Amino acid sequence: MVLIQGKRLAHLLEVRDLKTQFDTRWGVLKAVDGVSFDLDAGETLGIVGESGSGKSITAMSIVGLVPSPAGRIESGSITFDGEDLVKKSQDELREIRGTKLAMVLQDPMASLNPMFRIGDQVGEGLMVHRGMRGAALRDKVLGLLRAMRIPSPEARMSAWPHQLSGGMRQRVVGAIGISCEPKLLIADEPTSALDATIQLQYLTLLQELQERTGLAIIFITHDFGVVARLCHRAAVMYAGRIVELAKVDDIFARPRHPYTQGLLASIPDPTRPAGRLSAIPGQPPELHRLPPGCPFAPRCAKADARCIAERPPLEASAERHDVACWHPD
Amino acid sequence: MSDLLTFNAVQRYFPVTKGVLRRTAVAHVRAVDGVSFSVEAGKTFALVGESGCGKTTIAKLALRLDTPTGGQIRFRDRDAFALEPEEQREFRANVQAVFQDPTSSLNPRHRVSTIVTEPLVINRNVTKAEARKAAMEALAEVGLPENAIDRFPHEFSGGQRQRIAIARALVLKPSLIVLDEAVSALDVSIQAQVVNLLAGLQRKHDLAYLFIAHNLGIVRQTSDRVGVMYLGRIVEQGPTDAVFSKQAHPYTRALIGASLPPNPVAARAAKIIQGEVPSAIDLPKGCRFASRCPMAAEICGQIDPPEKDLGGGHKAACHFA
Repeated sequence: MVLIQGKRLAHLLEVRDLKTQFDTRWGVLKAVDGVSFDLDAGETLGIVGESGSGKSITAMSIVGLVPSPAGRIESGSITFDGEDLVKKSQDELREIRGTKLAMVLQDPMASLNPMFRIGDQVGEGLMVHRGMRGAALRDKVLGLLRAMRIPSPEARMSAWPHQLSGGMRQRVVGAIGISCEPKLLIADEPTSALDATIQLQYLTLLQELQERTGLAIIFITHDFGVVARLCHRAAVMYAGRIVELAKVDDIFARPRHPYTQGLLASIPDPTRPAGRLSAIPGQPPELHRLPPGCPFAPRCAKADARCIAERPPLEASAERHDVACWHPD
Repeated sequence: MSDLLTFNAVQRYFPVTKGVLRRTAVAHVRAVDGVSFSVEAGKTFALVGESGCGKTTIAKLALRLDTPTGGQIRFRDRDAFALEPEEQREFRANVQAVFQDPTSSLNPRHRVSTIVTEPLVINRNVTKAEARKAAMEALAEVGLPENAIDRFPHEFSGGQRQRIAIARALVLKPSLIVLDEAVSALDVSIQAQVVNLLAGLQRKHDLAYLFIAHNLGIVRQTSDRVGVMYLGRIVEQGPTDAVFSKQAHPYTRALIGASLPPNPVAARAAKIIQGEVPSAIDLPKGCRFASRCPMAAEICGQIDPPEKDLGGGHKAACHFA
């Protein structure tokens, strides 16, 4: 926690009742529907969920990159380092994004410009936001490439993106992300396209970086193995809402929401011999036709009349193991 | 034991060419470099490995979508690349495929009825009514409602689209289905549904699967035998439980050791192996894993290790296995 104006203890990031919606020809799509969470410096929060759960749009809302005009932040606040990002103009956001807030996406080729050399792309943020030039810039870029464990960084400076392997490209994007020493890094499935051995290298790199710099990380993923390895806390999202939020060890040891329980049971574990996988029946709901009650009710074995009629709020618990369910545990 | 599909020292080299008018091969990408394994009738053989190791090239060869540059592929004891035209037709009906991304493997302008009956119309002499009836049966088998038949692919979710692709593969009653990362793109809860569906279909129809994946958890759950690939070669193969519980090749150990199980204690214990995968054009002399191997000795840099038989069909290509 950080001290603001010497009195109030605040989190580095506070998201409160965030609602992000899209206008579609089928009606209003509630991609993020009342999401709240906090994040402190040096902490990693995993946001887990399946496609369409709203995890990526939550990230896009924080960095101010919700596709417009179809999408907009309808209500809520995002307080980052003492400022409400929802109220910022695009110019102000661009300054914050380049310096204090960075984002890494799944596909490094979409983040890298194929027409520029690696060194120029890693150095761009430093040139624009820090005014660095010449030898100082070059040294800093080399240091970043070294920090991301890119082999023979001097030679890679002048390489083109297509000449690097997928794992190396993702590390270059990571180097761009941390170039201006951000306080918060939002990573949206950065390792989903990487192989197991390369993924683990990348995650370990992030952990080392965090220990050194106190970086806060939001890691968006569908992979509970990654959450188990990297994160301190995890938020499980379903149909635009957080349904469970707790410390990682608690989520795995005592999942409280039937959806989290079902998901954990349906993951094939490479360290265990075969058995029939327990699958969650049914399909996720369509976001433009959400039921009035709990969105998971149609797939839930515990659902009763109240679940179908009334949406359960995310209830805070004394052990900081929050769950949005009428019949938890 | 009846082997349905057998790969015998199969090679697929892609030339790397230079020049514009007179293209000359200056090197070869050894995508598949001496691979031997067999898929038994009614069983699942899984191939697992990192991207670029040659898994998908093997899938293409097994489907006869590509031709090997060396070695032999046999299907039901016949050389799959020396078939008469009529036998080729029978081969295509017998060996079907399901790919990773149903959005790109299903024609968005065709209704499900056209998609699922197309193999029948091409390969069998059937009336429209018969084809539609067979399609209805196939859709029922994959758990789709009857009214699915007149809809378009975009009206379905990802998991349901993959069910349509499976129905299309089933409609000719094949004996082997090549599943190339067929469940990799699906969400966890849907993935488990499709894995269970495939297991049920296998029992019912005595189907064999060549299951290609990079997710070790899925492979362990679904396969009878597994081959671990590294840079164009199977470095270890055997009954799935033996390979996972008695890992003989250091690469298998590294791959399993680096995978992240859904359990904080085990995931935090996962171990890194350093280094990058060498290029398949410029393969090192000796063992191709030596540059990343914690056990590498002098011999590994000089002699490419042959496959050693460890008993019970479990084999590993390592000097120290």
